[in-house]
Amino acid sequence: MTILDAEQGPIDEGLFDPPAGDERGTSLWQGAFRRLRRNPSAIVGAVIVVAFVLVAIFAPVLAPYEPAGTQWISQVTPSSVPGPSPGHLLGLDSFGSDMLTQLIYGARQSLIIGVVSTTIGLLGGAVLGLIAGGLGGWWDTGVMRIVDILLSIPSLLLAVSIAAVMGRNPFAIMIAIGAAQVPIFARLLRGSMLGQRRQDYVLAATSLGLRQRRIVMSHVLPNSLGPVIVQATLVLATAIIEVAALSYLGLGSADPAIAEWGRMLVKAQDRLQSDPRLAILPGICIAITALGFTLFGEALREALDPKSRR
Amino acid sequence: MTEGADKVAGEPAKLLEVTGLEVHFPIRRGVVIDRTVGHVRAVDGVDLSVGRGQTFGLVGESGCGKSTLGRAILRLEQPTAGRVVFDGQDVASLKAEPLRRLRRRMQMVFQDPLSSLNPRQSVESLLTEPLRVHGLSAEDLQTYGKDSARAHAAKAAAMLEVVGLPGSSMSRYPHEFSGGQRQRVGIARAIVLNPDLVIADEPVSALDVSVQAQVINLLEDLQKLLGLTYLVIAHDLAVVRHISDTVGVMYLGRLAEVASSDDLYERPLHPYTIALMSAIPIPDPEIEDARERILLPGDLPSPANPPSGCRFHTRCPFRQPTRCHDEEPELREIPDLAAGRQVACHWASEIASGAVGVAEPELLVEPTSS
Repeated sequence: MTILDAEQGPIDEGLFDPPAGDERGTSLWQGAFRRLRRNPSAIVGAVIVVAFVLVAIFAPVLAPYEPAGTQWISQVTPSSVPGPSPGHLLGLDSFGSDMLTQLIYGARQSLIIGVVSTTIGLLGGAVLGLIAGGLGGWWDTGVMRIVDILLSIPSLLLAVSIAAVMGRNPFAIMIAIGAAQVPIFARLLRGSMLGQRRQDYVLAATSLGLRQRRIVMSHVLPNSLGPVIVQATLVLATAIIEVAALSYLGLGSADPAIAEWGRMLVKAQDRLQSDPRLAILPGICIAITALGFTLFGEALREALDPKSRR
Repeated sequence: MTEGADKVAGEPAKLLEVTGLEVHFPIRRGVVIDRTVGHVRAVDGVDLSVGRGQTFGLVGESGCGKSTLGRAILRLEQPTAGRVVFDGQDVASLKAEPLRRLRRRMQMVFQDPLSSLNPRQSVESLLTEPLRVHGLSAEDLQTYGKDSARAHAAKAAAMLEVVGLPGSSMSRYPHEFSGGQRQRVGIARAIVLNPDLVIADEPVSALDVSVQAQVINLLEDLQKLLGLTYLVIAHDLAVVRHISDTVGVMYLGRLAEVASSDDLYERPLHPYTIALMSAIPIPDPEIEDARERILLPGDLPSPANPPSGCRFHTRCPFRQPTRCHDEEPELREIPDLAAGRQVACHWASEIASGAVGVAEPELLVEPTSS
């Protein structure tokens, strides 16, 4: 080969620096995962998230009693609720149920609502963002004006109105919380796609003769998803808080047999003076869970951000 | 080298012929309704032609429109006016689908190899993607057999070898390579479709100086091996001289001078070219101190509002009181001065003969006397 002659050997500038014994290259996601493992706050966040998910899944195994059992109602008096005791580690709640049991089953409810509503928001927002960012032109203008209108409504107010219209069922709450996130996801994906479209590799794809649809779907979109995925983990935390807020406003699940952290807070209101424990315990659960998702989401953002890449 | 080949063989077939190419970008203002308040004339009437197997070098300072010109030829920017005839077809007026199919024959090498490679694609995916879109070319079908993932991978591996990267690079990702290696991947991607024309937009200016020569040599070797035609855009005069058969000097959206590479560097005719050449440092301190340099006053004027007459007259050290400011010079051949080269200056003959000198002596940096 004339091309590989002596004056110009195959690899003469710089050397590969592959991890020992690693024959395959590391993709961006693999690299991000590696950086996540080195970040302490990602570990803390991940541990909280995993613990939360495990508690939610294995609630029937972990809980000491059946949920919503009101068999100890006789011990509850108008002035006091029995506190922690050997039989009830965290005491009873104002309905005479075991507090620990209620909190464990509440995790289940929060997880379902959080995941489903985030998925609704993510999918809805992704479709709108893809139309705006992928087609551009009038589609972009039209979709973004709708998104602007949605954004101008406070998200909680939007959720309250949807919940009020659709009635008090769990699915309505998920749609209500998810719908409030749609414009945020749409904007994020569109902005991210617009940024990617200006990159040279998109120009390169055009000059290689790729079809527009392929460029958008297999080049621009995958490179734009990072911020959206980060946002989804952060929204999960918000969704859990918003479920609590909706319950607090009396728009939560109508079924009192379903344990739910937000409603536990509401019910604790009357007894805040005498038994603050009733509000503090579910409050801590909400805060820790939200913190876990936020820590993990922020760490993921750092890991995916090309600027922090070392 | 192919220098002088066209003089011996007469006019060779031109692969690329550009006539009157213009790319104007509208300047929009307005809060609710956009009004067009003017145009940036990035490329403003360029004629050039490149023969098959030749290399045309395009030089000019930043902002002169050379990159836009390169992109407009590939129709990555939509030309406002003019024709780009590639092997008999006018690229500028081609419909979307025929254009897309024609793209396999005209490829591009980008300045920044990192941003022009999709960070999520492995080298194998980067190199086989064009093949998945266009299929193997006729001659490759004989070598590698029917279009299939295996044939595509074999072709990609062959290209990787041609550009001098080890086969283990296949499964790696762009960020795992050094700058020079990345540019090799970019070049491999450009030649995987067996194109006729490759437009290289500043192919080495993002690279370490020690690597630049290797990549330039690679481009030259590939030209010989694959019979490629190049349009190389650069601001590095040495790079352009080394690689080009013909060089076009661009100033503010127009060509100031076109000549064979040796002619241009030995005897520049246009005042702008003369000033450019006088800026090349000579790696010998005594000669370097003894030579004259011409300083150009001011900055490149705004392409949104180019000067009247000759675009260069606002900075030209040889400016004359007549014609320069009100009559735009044609890019023309001056047969009794220099055959086979074109220059866009009213006074080229007089400047060459010494009848017209530098008007303002303070622009001339005299040899350092101390």
